[in-house]
Amino acid sequence: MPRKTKYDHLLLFITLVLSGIGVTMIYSSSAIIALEDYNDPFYFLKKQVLFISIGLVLMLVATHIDYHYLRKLTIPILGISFLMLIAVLIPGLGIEKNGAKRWLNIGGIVFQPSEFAKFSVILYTAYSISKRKEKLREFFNGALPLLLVLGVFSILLLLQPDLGSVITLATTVFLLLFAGGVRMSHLVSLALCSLPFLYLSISNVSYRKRRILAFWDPWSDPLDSGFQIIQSFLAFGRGGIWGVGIGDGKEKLFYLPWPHTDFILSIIGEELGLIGVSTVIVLFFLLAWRGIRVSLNSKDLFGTFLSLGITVLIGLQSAINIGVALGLFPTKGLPLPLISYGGSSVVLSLFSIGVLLSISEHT
Amino acid sequence: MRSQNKENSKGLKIKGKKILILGLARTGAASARLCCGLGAKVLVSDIKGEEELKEYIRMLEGVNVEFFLGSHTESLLEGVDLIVVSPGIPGSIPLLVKARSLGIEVISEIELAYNFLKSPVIAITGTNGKTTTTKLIKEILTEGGYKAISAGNIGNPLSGIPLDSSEYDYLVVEVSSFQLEGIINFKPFISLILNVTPDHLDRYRNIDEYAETKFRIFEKQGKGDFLILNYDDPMLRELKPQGDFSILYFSTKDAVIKGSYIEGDQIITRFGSTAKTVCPVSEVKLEGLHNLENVLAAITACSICEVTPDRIREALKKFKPPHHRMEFVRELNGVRFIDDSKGTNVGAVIKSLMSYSSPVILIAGGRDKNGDFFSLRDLVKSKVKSLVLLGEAKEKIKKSLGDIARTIDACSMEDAVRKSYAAASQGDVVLLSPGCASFDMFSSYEERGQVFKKAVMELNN
Repeated sequence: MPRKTKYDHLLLFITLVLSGIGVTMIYSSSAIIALEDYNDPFYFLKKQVLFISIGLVLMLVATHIDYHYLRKLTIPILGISFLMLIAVLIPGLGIEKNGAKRWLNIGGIVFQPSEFAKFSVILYTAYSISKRKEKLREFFNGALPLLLVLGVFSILLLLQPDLGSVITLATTVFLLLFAGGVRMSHLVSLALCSLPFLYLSISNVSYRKRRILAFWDPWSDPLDSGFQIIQSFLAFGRGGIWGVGIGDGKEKLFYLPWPHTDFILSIIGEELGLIGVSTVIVLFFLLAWRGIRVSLNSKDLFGTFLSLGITVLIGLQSAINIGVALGLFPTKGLPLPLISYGGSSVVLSLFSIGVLLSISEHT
Repeated sequence: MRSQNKENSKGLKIKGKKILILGLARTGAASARLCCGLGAKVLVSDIKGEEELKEYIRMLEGVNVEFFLGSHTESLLEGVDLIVVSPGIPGSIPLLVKARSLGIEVISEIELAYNFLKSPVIAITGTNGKTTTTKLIKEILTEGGYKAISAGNIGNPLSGIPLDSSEYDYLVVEVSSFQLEGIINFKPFISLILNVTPDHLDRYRNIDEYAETKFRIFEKQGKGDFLILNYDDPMLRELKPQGDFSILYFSTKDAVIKGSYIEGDQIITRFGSTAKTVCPVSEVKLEGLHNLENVLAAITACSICEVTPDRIREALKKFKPPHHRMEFVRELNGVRFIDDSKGTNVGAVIKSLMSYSSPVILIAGGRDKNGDFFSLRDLVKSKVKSLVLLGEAKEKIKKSLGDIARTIDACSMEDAVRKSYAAASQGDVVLLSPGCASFDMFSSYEERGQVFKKAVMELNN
């Protein structure tokens, strides 16, 4: 007789373990910086615990709401995130830090609309594919509206500038379109069209150019653009197989910039060694596997593509962040989902996984 | 031919047994005939008297059966090995309770017939839409070049099908929840559950018990069989049936991975690796959203039987809707009259009302089947201009809905039609969807519908 299979417990478990590793390593890597900058070693820890709590509440809510309701909210969500991306660019509304306008302050809550924007574009893409699947092979009536939305959001993100988000978002949307049956020739020609822009956006911005050069040969400029990646290598080297132990790392002592955000994996490498880094990578693989499983088991196209989109987005961001820390990719300002310090990222990641759990509940 | 198949049962043994058939009518007569032909000693009992059942007694002329008419007495059970229950008789009547306590096997008529039939069965159940879907499937299969026959509740009992029915490619069977109470071996090739809304709550304790009975339709299904469910029905969407059979869905809202759905203005069916476009929604000539669901259900079943989209499309074009089920009657000065006399429960009224965006004058009432008229409140508030009430349930409906819509009392169907027309203005719909049984004023829902249609046709400017 009918039996209710509950949501994917393993997926929830992996998520909680990753968040736990995150909190631990954020404390370990940020305590000294926090003490120096804020006179409180628990400063970042406390905030991250707050973010995770908010994220878990949202995840709980998302898990228990039938994801089909999201269908009706797709356009409003897309509209709100569009307005937020515009607001970020307006002086006075958007907050500028380190030369990038990425933050918005609404009622004292500071957050990055780009995280929300990524989710909303994935949601819209999944919704659109489920509405026009049979037309996707045509260009003007099929794939074009989806690509226009991606294009508009990409431009807004580039104006911040946030090239990292554009690359992950565009790759995810292209993958969804490919899975949705859009002609390969359409996708390839579009990808080729975007190459000159990508080239311009890199060659015209000096820090991006330097990052690329530093990626090819970090030791060409060891004290400036190559500094970060060299410090990351040193961290992994010092960690060895077993690591120097939690709290005993040295890279976080003002050697490695951003030890609790973009380069948290280097600190994991130093303090927990190859074993720790491998565990994190394996956990992300498991997360991706469960997500794809949810997608394959979903009973409708909306569920299939939404879960695939969320999984690819989280998987891709982790892969790029890990790749950057290991020197496989040029430096990109992308956090490691669920682990890096950062409110918007962790809240949105947990919420997205809540949606994933809701889809798994209804398979 | 029949003698060759005598022992060719799927498990049920009939020969030499003493069998009691409960409920005569057409189905009872067919089961009695079948059992006799298979070499059983047959008793037939019905609470109705000889006079009322004349017609059916005549059907059994020359067949060796004993009649016990007028009441079901417990002494009948003596020596009985098996009881075959006709549709419409609930398993809770005292005689059946007693029989079960004595260890006598109780089966329904479809179970009896199923054991001796050879062709694959497509079984349709659900609260509403069974008859339309059954007919649709039969028509589409026929258009697709198959030899198909429909049977079940629609005046054509399954046990009446000749036993050498291997000449049929498919038997399309409408199955009520009462019939599903008495199944043992019944194993359809394809089963469909169209919807589960509260109905017959006078006979079931609650909606879950009623739903559980519907779910028995796939109890015996296994590898190579198919179950088709309505994805728009929350209870069916969340159903997680256990078994080796494949599950397909149909939906008017979601693009389902396996099954049929609507994309833009096209009906799409997806079975196997590719999606196929069947036809534009506008080509479906049946009134109402629920009929679109029935069409999608039928398309899904027929896709499994490999009927091509162009054949399906052709069959849909030719299909004439059954009478009294959202049947368009007449348009008079911009007022459309719709006969939904078969809407004998509140769920059917909900489905019918949902199909209209224009203001509705709803004619409702009759013999209450313990329906929850409160569940109509939202729809009535948004769509119904006036409620024209008839029959025994009048006061109950007034109590549930009287505060949110204007109510008009009618003493007869003719009166109801006249008062509805008077209350309607151009662009309105007059809908007879009683939400109740007809037996307080009419002999059947068909008669109620006929009277309604006649009254509508007699209206003049």
